[in-house]
Amino acid sequence: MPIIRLESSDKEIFDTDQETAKCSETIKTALEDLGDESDNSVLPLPNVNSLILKKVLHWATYHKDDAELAEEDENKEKRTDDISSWDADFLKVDQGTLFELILAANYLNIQGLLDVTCKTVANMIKGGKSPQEIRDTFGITNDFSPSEEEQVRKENEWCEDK
Amino acid sequence: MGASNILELYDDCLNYIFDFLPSQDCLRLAQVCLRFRQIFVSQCGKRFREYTIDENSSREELIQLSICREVVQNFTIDLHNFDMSIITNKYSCNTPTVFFDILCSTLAGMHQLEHLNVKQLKILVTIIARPVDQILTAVRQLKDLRRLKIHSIFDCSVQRLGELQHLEELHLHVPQIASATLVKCCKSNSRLHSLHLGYGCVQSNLCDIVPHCKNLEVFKFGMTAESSAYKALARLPKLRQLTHFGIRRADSFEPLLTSLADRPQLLHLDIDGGSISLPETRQLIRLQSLVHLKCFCSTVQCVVMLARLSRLEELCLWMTSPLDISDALLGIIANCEKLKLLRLAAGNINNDFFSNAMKLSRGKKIPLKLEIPMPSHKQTITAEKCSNERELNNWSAF
Repeated sequence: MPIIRLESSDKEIFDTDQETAKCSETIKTALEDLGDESDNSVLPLPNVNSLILKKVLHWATYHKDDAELAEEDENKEKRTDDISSWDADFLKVDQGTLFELILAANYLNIQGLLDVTCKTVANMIKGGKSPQEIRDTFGITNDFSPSEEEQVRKENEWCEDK
Repeated sequence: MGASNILELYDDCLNYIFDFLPSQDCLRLAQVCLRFRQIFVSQCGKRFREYTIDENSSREELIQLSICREVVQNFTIDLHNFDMSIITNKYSCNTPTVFFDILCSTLAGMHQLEHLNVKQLKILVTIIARPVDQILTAVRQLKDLRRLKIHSIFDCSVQRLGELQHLEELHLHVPQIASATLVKCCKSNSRLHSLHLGYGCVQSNLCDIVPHCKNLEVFKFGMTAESSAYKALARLPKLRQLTHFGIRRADSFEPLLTSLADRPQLLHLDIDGGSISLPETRQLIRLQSLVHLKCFCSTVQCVVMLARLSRLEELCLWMTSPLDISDALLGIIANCEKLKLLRLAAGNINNDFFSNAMKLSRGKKIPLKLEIPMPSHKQTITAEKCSNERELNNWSAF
């Protein structure tokens, strides 16, 4: 089976099998474009560093035999409680790594990885957290001006139960 | 590429995360920081470009509306939603004035609002003082607000109309409006080109607004007054389309039509109520610029005279007497070469009318559409073919 050679942004080369590499739509398209010339040539991925690429390949190796994802109903609220225990363990990482994985999954177009990483972030937001609690969770600065702050206060009063 | 903070993710990634959240959590995200707020508006905003606040508006939707207020273009307020019973039962809110204040501050932030519609069609029980005036004050700074419609079947204060400046189209269907208020409104909204007033909403004071309506092209109103009260309308420099509806006194339009004929520029005239008298018809046929006319006639002579309006493209007639007007109509078809539509809502014609009308219109460049009640309801006549459509005529349809 041909070996695919991927090069990270920090010039590290990763050898992987075709099936794993083709979890990424981006890589799959690139390989198809190259055709037979792909033998032994190196595919540069200037947007992914070696640390993240290693994790992505780890994920892809485990998931390469997964069935195609079924199309979900657009209007249905999407579930976030269906993360497998392997994925949950895999994503026990710091926030920075999690966000980089999202960016990599987005760039490499790996739907399954994008889904599971975004679900993980959604789960960090869910559960009736107040805006301040969300800021604390993600280290976000409140950048509303005093008048915008006032507007936020007002829109909550629309319907506040007294 | 690197991301140590959630805010360093691209918009499409953030959008994707939002997609996994129930709307309640999305609302809270929109209150975290400006970036999340923008994402929320870009996702949710298109639902609010055109929005009606009424009994179906849920609590959650109202908060979403506030957040997305900057994208609202077309907004309708049903004041019934602010009735005490609804505010307390539906929204569990015991402070209706606070509730209404938030509506007003939301309105003030609708910077893209172009069209505002305020309705009060049921009795409103409320402690909110002058709700319509409060709404008008809230939107007075909005530069894109060009169309305003107020429809109330009860007396309501619209005194603050004069605070608006950018209106181009105004519909006021309220029981009455003080002359001074309307004058002030016309003065401050100098670009007003279309004004629709409900029946009896203004009275003899109509002439007061005329000097301030330099750009008015379309005017629609209804009132019973002395003929002198109507006459002032002829001084509107850009008037193209005039509609009067409802009851009026016999002969009351003669002075108005006389003055209009001195400077023929009117394209569209509807006198929707009250048969035109002979003296009125004499003046009416001097309006040589008319392309559309709708009126009531009671004598054959008046119908015969209408053939003098040679530029007519559309004529809609209602005969208030059972006289045969076949020959008069044929005269109109023969003389008005551009006539495209002749509609008779009520009136008698003889059996030969259609064949005679067909002969006359043969060879005409523009096909003529006839809509006549009996015997064959609706006919389209062109040089080659003649078709029958069995369809009842509806006077209000035009």
